[in-house]
Amino acid sequence: MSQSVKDPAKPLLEVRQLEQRFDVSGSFFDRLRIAGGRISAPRRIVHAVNGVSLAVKRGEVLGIVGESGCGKSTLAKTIVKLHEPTGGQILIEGEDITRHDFARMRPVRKKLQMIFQDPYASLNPRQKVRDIIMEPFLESQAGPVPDIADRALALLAKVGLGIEHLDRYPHQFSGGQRQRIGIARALSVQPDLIIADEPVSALDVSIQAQILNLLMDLKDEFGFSYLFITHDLSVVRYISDRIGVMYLGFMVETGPTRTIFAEPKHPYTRALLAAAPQLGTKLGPASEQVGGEVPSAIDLPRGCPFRQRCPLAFARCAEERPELRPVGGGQAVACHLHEPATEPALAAT
Amino acid sequence: MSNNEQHSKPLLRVQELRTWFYTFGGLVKAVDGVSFDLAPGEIMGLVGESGGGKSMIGFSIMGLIDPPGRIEGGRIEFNGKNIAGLSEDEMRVIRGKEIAMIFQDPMTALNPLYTIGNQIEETLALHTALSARERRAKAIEMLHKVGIPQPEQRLSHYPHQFSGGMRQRVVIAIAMIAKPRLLIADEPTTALDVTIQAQLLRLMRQQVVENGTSMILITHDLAAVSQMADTIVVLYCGRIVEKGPAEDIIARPRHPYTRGLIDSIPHETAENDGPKQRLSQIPGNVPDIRKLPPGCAFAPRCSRASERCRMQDPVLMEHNAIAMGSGKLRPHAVACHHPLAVSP
Amino acid sequence: MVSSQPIPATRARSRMQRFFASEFFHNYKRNLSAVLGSLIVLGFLVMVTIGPLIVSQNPYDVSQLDLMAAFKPPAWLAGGSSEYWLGTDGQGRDVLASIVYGSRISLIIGLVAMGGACLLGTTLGLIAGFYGGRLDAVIMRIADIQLSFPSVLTALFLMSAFGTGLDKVLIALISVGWVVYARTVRGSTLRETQKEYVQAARVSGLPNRKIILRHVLPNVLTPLIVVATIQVGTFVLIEASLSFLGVGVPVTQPSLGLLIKNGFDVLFSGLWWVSIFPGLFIMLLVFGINLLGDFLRDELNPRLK
Repeated sequence: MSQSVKDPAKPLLEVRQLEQRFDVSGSFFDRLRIAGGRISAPRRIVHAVNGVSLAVKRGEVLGIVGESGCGKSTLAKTIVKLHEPTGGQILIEGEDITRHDFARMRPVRKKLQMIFQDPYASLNPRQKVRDIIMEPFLESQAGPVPDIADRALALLAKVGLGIEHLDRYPHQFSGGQRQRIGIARALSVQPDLIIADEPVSALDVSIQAQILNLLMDLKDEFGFSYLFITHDLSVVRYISDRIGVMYLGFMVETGPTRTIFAEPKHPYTRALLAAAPQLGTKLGPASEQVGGEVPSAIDLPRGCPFRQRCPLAFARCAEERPELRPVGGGQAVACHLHEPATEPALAAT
Repeated sequence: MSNNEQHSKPLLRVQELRTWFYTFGGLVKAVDGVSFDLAPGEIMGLVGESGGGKSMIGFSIMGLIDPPGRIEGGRIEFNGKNIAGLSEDEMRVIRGKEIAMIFQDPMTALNPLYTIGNQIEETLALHTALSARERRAKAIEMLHKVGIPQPEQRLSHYPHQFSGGMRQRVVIAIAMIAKPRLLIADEPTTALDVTIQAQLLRLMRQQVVENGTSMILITHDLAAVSQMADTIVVLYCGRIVEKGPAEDIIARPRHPYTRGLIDSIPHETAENDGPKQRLSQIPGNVPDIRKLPPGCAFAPRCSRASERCRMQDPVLMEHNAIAMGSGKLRPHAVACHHPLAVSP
Repeated sequence: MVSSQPIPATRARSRMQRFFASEFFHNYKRNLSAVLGSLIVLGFLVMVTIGPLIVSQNPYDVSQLDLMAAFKPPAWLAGGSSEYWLGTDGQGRDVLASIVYGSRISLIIGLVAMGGACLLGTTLGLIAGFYGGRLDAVIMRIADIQLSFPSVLTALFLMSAFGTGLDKVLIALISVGWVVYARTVRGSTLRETQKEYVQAARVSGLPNRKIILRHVLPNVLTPLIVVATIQVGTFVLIEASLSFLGVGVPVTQPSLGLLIKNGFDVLFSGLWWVSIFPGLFIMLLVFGINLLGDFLRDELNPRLK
């Protein structure tokens, strides 16, 4: 374990070819099908995350953006081992935690915390604020801890709450305040990486700005990194240094935030950016708009996952699944259009 | 369109509407003295945060306020006739035919036990004298119009066989099939993905424009409203704080709350790539509507608030701004003692 | 629609004051059947605690019995005596005193069995809901089988297998009663473990045991209050049926059910009061419990709110 060695070159979090599948077929009797005089029991597998690789450096914010069902939340939950990954590797500071059991995860948990989406469901309604925010810390300590109240108070102050909130229950707070409590809980163990799963999407706009500011202030103060999951392009653009775009469980494009917004390469990224409502611009004609809807993650399409909705799809897209390849400037795209070999093919179509 | 607005009578005139809820925790003035006009064919955006009362205005117009809530006062004139306080039977004639509503969750609007075809044709049977065959033809045509592929087959499908976006298309089809004169859409795209959201906003706009229907779009999403609406009404704690033409409100907000809402949305200009700037935020939280402070409800969160704001309720007053270019007066009203200056 | 804002600190007020100011108490006051139900239940509790000190005799102390006073009718009928308000039975026992002592046995059985069933059922429900898989399947299939028999029949079968006695009655009642808790708790557990606060506890590195006890258990208890209340009534009735059928409590510790049985033999000889009065008291007790249970169901069910 490399606890003391903090090699700046080594990424804090590295995910290699991560794969997460869920068997949703239920029991044998649920699966039983009788069709055309034949009895079969097919399994139904949801391919939630398909060979995703990413790295988060110390002090960096990596935003993962995509629509519902694209696997971004599953990715987050698999990284903190709420799900056991079905394939690939998760490394924290070079330490492979993919197959860690409960006991071996314990020291890792201190480095890895999570902020959740729903401010109403993410706090135990029967716990007082002081117990909620101190729980991860107390769990990470071997024996009794002195000055718990002082520590709790200091934590609350960091997120903009005060002593009068210490002994209240979650229902006595507004959505934004609850999210602050959730952030305090994640801070209690002084983690290196916080995985934030849609932390502001359930909040009102004015409160959203407060929480985003708080998250940035805390990052500046403590120097941790975020893996920031969101569907909201304006939020991801504001908070991220780099962005990964997911579609149907695949990473289709990654790159520095500025490049992604200025020169999106993947047709899906382009469509996503075009669809996002812009303040003060009238709804234009459907130009970059894509039709149709996301296909089922149970029966993944052959070839490129996006080809059925892609206005630029050609023959090869149906046959071969594109790999995420670097295209320069730190950007990488999984699209046959952006591979050197396909330029003539494109010209021919 | 805006030329006609000056002459034609409003389709909907809401005057001093007050919808109150008598809860155990105290009196909730969800809507407290709201007035606005809606011209035929106009698209109006009703924006505000949770607790602002925007949904309750929609429910009040539809006559869907249940105890402990009550329309406590004011008029809702639809087509010249006051429909506030009409009986359930009288409202039923208006609902669906004259005024249709679309909700956030399409599942609540669709009955899971009936096919889509049943539900569309039922609306037609209720409001038209068409034969069964004509109804079916009309339903197919409508599904086609809202962009549902293979409408003939889809008629016999149940709601759960549709995706979220497709379901909302069906809901739009049902809402628009009787060609209502007013469509109220309450957060119609909030539960949907961005790419689907854009498709549906386009669809709704095309539908209302085609039929000359007026529309009230209720949402918390200022960007979506600015894309769709002709006029915007901003609500805070059950009251209108600002209303006016959409472009004016977005480009030149006069109320500090509207300004705060606009600035809270992270927007980055392409050049700005240095160290991240803090977002400008509205401090504090929305106050408990049962214990509103005296004076302006926004005063505790407002940087411009003075002693007067904490004592005296500001009245919604017109500060007519001359629209850029046309030189025509456009009503832009704001309820603030210290409205922001009109910057060029 | 109503924004959930921090409620001003109410630290100065005691728990009791807060209860009396709560919406729960407000609704309770305005609900006639809830007030009636709780008064009945309270009346019974008072009766079984201080009743034995007030009634004129201990009906199970043979030395206090007067055989000469056998089968006396209630006080208001001809031949009745003001000493025995509700009359006496064949051994000269005061019916009212028997009811006071009998209610005590019935209520204790109902409450203790309810506690045991609740403990067993909740534990199994938590395990089934939290761990799922094969363990869940086994527990819930046993519960399904249990539910496919009428509970009196199951209890009757168990009693005839184990023999009679207070402890055997309790075992029989717990064996038929745990299922309802297990099912309720399993359902709530499945729902709660999906919530993010349980995931947060996992991310914090809490072992499963702590997650179950600290996070899941406190949040699945509320619906059990209703189940438990109603079940006390059900258990009183099942126990009465068992005792009536002769496989319940021993004659030295007669419950209300046994009193009915004792009087049943002479019911059609015109000596109706010996079994009718205990019967009325059972009815009253179960009625009161059910009124209270119905109110709690309406108040505590979040779906109705």
